[in-house]
Parts: sequence; structure tokens; C-alpha cells
Amino acid sequence: MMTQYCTFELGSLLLGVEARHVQEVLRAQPITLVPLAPDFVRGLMNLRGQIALVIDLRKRLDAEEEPSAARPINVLLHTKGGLVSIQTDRIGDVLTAESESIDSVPDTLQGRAREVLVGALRLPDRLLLLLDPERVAVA
Amino acid sequence: MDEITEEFLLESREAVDQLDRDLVALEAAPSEKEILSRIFRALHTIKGTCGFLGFNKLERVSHAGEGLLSRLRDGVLHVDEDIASALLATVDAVREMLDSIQTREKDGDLEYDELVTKLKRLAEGEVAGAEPVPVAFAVAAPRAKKRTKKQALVAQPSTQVATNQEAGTTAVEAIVAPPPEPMASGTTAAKGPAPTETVRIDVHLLDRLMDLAGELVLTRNQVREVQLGADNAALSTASQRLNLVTTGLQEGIMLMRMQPVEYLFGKFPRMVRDTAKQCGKQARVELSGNDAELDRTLLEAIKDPLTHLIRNAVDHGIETPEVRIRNGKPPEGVVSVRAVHQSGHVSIEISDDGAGIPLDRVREKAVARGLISQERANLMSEAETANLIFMPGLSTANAVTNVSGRGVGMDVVKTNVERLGGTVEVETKLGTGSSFRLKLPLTLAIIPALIVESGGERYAIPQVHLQELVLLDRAKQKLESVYDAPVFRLRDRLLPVVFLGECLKSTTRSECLLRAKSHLAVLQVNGLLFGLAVDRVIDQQEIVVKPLTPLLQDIPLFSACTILGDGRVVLILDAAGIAQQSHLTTLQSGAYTMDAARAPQKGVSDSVSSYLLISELSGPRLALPLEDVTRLETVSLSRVEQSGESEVLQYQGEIIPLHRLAVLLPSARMASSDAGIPPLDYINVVIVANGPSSVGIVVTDVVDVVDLSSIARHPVNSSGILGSMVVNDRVTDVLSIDWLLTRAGCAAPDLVRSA
Repeated sequence: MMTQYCTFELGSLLLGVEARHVQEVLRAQPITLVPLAPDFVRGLMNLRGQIALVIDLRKRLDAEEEPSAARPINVLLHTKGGLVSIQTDRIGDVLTAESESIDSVPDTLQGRAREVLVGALRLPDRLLLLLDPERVAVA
Repeated sequence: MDEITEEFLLESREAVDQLDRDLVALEAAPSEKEILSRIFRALHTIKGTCGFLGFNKLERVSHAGEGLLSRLRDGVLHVDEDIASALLATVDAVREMLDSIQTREKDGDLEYDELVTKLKRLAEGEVAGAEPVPVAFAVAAPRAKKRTKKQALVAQPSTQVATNQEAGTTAVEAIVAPPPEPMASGTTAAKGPAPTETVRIDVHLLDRLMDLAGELVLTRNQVREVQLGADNAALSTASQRLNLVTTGLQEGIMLMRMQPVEYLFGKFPRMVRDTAKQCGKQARVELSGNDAELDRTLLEAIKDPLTHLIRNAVDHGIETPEVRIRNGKPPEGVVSVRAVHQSGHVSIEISDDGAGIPLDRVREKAVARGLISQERANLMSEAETANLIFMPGLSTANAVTNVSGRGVGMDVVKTNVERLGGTVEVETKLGTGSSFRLKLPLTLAIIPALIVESGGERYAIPQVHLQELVLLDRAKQKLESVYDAPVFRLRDRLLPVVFLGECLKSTTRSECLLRAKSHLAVLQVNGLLFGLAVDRVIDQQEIVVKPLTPLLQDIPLFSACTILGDGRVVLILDAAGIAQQSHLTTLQSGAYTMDAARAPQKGVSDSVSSYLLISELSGPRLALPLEDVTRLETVSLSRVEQSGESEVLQYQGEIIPLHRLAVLLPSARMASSDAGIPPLDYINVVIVANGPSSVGIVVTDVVDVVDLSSIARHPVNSSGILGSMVVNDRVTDVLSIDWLLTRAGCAAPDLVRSA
């Protein structure tokens, strides 16, 4: 079965989610901080009357810290728990791929990244890591 | 499930709820023909439709019930307890089968043989039973069903169908007939079918509309900003119209979500009857204020707490008939349930004329269970002791019964009510009865809140927990410490203080303490009073409550979030969570708990009231009853505008008229009010409610708030004085707000909702 993936970059990583979960892509918005929330929660954002939870994807994935892009890009996802926005550095193409060509995450991958990644897609030159939107905003 | 069946379920459920109410009413007044025929029609409609839909068991039971009813209606039999119980059992059976149809699309596996036999036996009580109803009517009803479906689900199928039995007309008449009763207005049905137009709406659609209206408000605010900068007359007109339409729309949607409490109260007569039977007691329920309205989600949420309180009243409160007679009371106990709509709240009071709560026993038990210390127990006032019953694990019932007495429940009642932003209070007198008072907001969706700032972020505090605001400055009103714990002297007691910044881990305490000025919001929750120190108080606003995303729901400090007018997302603080996080509990800091006797509106001692002391430049000291005062504001003179000949103020999105107290009062009392005093650049305004709107009364100075148990009352005369009292050795006159409003030419307040 062919599935569409929305891709984006975070430092050197190429990440993607199934396009059907993506509502829109936005430039940085004002964010309200939430004290005492898990460290990967950036805060809450008002999206035309709906409230979205903003996730710092770098912290969520335990990815290497690097000076983040001047203005992060918000990718808004529909999840069962409401709107979730993940902050990324750059937005990529929409790719169409056979879902059969997805490999599972290697067992050796440990830690936080394992909680949110569902698989990897072999592209000719690099790997596309797939996120599960439902697990991004779960502690 | 097909549409016809779904509709049948929906309507039958309503009919069944109404049947419960009517049957209990009928038992009390067996000769009421009106009620009897309503019961008959309702059951007949169910029977007719389910026969058509092929639910044979349901048809059989309702048919048997109808048989008994027709005997009653013909006057052959009379309602007695047996018959009433059998009919109620029929209603229960019907309800069970409806549930079964809902879940499994068939009317269950039970045969209800016993019930059917009993009904038949009762029906044959005096005369050998004949077929009560010709079969033809079972066909007439379904025909009526079809038209309702066509008419886009407008109201219920007419119960008129049943009356065709007499008239012999066809279902066509039923099409023309107006729907006999709108949802949840059972009492009007007795007066015959009212031409009401109702439409059923999906709740989720309502919620969505509510969200959209909120969004529209934000858009309107943005448009307004553009318009202010643009200086364009056409844009300005359009913006004003947008403003009006938006406000109207939002109010309309709010009203759409309101339902009369009758919806809930209707279940109580049956419940009290059954509970009383179970406990071997005699009790009836008295309902009043059925038409007070609450948001539907709220109505649903208070169902369990109310049910619990009422069952408790019957099981624990009301004595057995023998004991009651011995104590000189009528054998039948009364549980009265009263709903009153008052200034933005609905208060529901459940009182019984039973034995009251034995406070000594409560105290003993609490000590025995280690909930409080003996020393503490000795010091507790009656009101404090009564409040112990809300603690987990405390029940004064001698025996655990089927109904209550397991010591769970009252704490759940309190937690549930407080989660809804309400409060619950108890008042009890041994031998005379107990009364529980629930104070609830009208809606969960929109609440008044205080917006504060801490560590650069804004937060909302629900007004329901807010008792007062104190401005702290380092000179006069300062914080002190007991070892490490900050406290504040609030009049004559010590208040524990929590720093919001510290609680949120956004600022340290020393940073909080360094601020030259900060505000202390005095909060009351779970009967506990504490001060919350914030950096700044921004505003008071009506906010639209939005749930928190699941990931953040575990943080005890926040209950929800909202979007302010400027589009910014703000977290709503949970006062109970803050108290918990800061290790303030009723137990540890018992000394700080609200002593009910001095709190306003606590009811235990009605004679204690609070007064706002004000002073004018000359003349005697004056006071206003605090219960009439909504807020105190200090307003810069530049905000006072002119409208026509009077001064007005823009206040929370409304234009409110301002009246100077010195002008309102007879000039003889107020000698030259502005002689020789340099004008200040601000005024003190006392905001009072005038029906749904507000009026501002400008006073020279606000001195204090005092609690007094009695004032020497005067007859209200032309001087507008309710009475006098002595405060700090000075005679102080208490002014009548009504009198002031009349004098100011404001329409008399009409507090009754007409929606």
C-alpha cells in the first residue's frame, strides 16, 4: 500500500510522519510556558482558538543539541489527545512510499527515541525515521 | 441500529423518566385523573411502537402494565402501594429492556413472567380482566413515527396518538398536533400540549459552536485593533456590528446549553420513595426551584453528588416512624430539595427534618480513627466538627446498610463538587435535621477569573476560590515568618502564605520577597484559607475554560487552560492542587481553617453579616452590606467618560453608569462634599450588581470590611438607612443598596432569569 509521508529535518536527522496526521505547518508562534511539565514540553500555543501542545522534538528524541534554527517550524499533528505541534528545523518534501519497505527500529536503539519512533524507511541516500504522532505527546 | 429504533430509544427513555415522576405523584394523589391519563398515554406509546419494531417482550410487559392502568383509569381499581410498586417495577423492566436494545439491539433474555402475572392479577383484582385496548392502536402509533422521521427529528412523536382511541381519528391528526411536551418540562404537560418548538442537537456540535464563538470573539478583537488604527468610518461601523453580533451569538449558544434542574430533580421522588421503603422509613421529597437552569455538562456532573446526599438524608437523617412519633414529629419525614438562582450561581440545598448529625459521635470517631488529635477535637467549633464528615473514612451510621454507611461518599461528594468549581457546606442541629448547601457556577464553560502574573507568565485564578485581595508592601502590610513558613496577619488571624512563583518553580522565594510590592490573593478551598502571593494582578475576566491536553493533566497545579482576549494561552490554577503541593491540608493547619461562624454566607449563624465601611469627607461613617457588593475598583479619572448627562465607565466589556454617593445622599446629610480638598486623579468605585448589569457607586474612601452579628435596624425611610451600628466606637449607618439604586434612577433589579 502506498502511503504519503510528510518529512522534516532536525539537525542531521531526516524525520517523517504519515501525511494524514499533519494538519498544517506554521512559523514560530507565541508560546505559553507550562511550569512543572516534562522537559520536552515547550508550552501551549493558540491556533485560531484551539490549543496545541508544543513539543521540543530535539529533547523528545534526545537528539544532539545544536544551535537551533533561528525560527523553528511547527508541524501540527492531529492526535487522540488533541493538537500537538512538533518543532523542527526545516521542512522537507512529501514522499510517497510502499509501507512494506519500512524497516522496524533496530532493537539496539535505546532510550527516548525508541518511545516515539515506529520505523525507518530506506531512501536511496539516507534513512527516513518515522514518528508515531500518538506517542510524541505521551510521557 | 436504524434511525427509527434510535429515535424510539431516545423518546422512550424520556417517557420512562417521566413515568417515574408521575407514578410517585400518582401514589401521593391517587385521584389525579390528569396524571393517570398521562401515564397511560406514555406507556401506550411505548407499547405501540415496540410492537411495530418487533420487540415482543417489551410489548408484552408494557401491555400488561397498560392493562392495569386502564382498570385504574376506568375507576374500577384504585391506586394503592401494591399497584404503585408493580407499576414502578414495570417501568424498571421497560428501562432494562431499553438498555438491552441499546447495547444488543434486542429486548433482552428475561421473560418478566412474574411481573406480568402480578400485573394481570392486580388488574383482575375486582373484575375479570378484559382486553383493555383494541389492537388497532398498536398500528396507529408507528404511522405517526414515520412522519417524525421525515420532519427532521422535530420533538417527540405525539402522544396524541394514544388519545385517538377515543376519537377514532387517524394518525393524520397527530401530524398536525404540536409536540405535546418539550424536553424536560414535565410539569407543563399537565396543562395540555403547549405549542413549543424544539430541535434535538448533538452535544458535540454545541461544544464545537461554543469553540467557534470563542474564536469569533478573538477575531473581533483583532478587527477592532485594525479599525482603531485605520480611522475608516465604514470599517468602524462594520466592526461595531461585528461586535454586537458576536456577543449575541455567544450568549445564545450559552443559553442553548442550559437545561432546567428539573431534568435532574425529576428523578428524586422515586429515589426517596424507594430508599425509604428499603430502610423501613416514611419519607417524601419536596422540590422547589425546578426551573433554575444549569449548563448541561454541569447538570450531568452533579447527578451523583446529589443522589448521594439525598439517599444519605433518607437513610441517615430521617428517623424511623416510631422514633419520629416519639419525638413529636409526623411519621413521614420530608427531604426538601431547593434550587435558587442567585447572582451568577445556582445554589442547591438539600435539607431533611431528621435526627441531625450527632457531632459528639463525629468527633469521637474522627479521634478514634486518628483523623484528628484529641486536643484538636476539644477545640473544634460545631461548624468545624460538622465539616469533618467530608473527610474520607468517616461515617456515623451504626450499621453498614445497602444504601449508605460505608464511610465513603461524603468526601467524594465534596471532591466532585469542588472539581466543578462549586462549594458544599453543611449545617446541622441535633433532633431538628441537617442541611447541605451546594453552590455551583451556572456553567463550566465560562467562569469569572482573576488574571495574575508570576515570573513573567500570566495565570487565571477562578473567582469562586477567591476571598479577597491584599496589596503587600514592605512598609505596612508585610509578610512574617514562623521559622521558615511565611505567614500574613489578616486582621486578627495568621494566614499561611504560598508564593506562586516558588510553587511553579519559576522564581525563588528570595526573588519573590525582594519585590517592593506584590499582591496576596486570599483563597479558600476545602474549608482552608491561605494567601497566594503573586507578582501582579492584571485583570478580572470571564474566561472560556478549555481542557488540558492529557500529558499535562497530571500536574496538580493546573485545572485547565483558556485563551485571553489578546490571543494568549493562559493556564488556570487549581487552588486545591496548590494547597496540596504546598502541604497545606485542613488537618495540619487546622488553626487556619475558616471558622464558619465568622464567614459571610455560611448560614450557620444567619445573623452575622459583613459590611463594607466607607467614608465620605464629612458626615457620619457609612457602610454597605458586603453581600450586595460585587467588586471594589480604583479607577483613574481619565477612564471616566461622559454619556449623555451622566458619567460612565467601561468595565469588563460593559458600559456601567457611575453615581457619586455624595450626590445620591440627601444634601443635608452630606455637607459640602468637595470643599477645599484637592481633586485626586483617581476615584474609588464600589461595583454593585443591578440585575444582570452593574452600577458603580463612587465613594471617597473604602476603610475596611467588618463582620457584625447585629445592627440596630431602622425602618427604611427617605434617608436610605437600613440601620446603624457601632464600629470602632463610631456610629456607622448602613445604607440600603436598593434605595441607592432607586435614587440613582436605575431600574429595580430583576434577578429572576427569564430565559
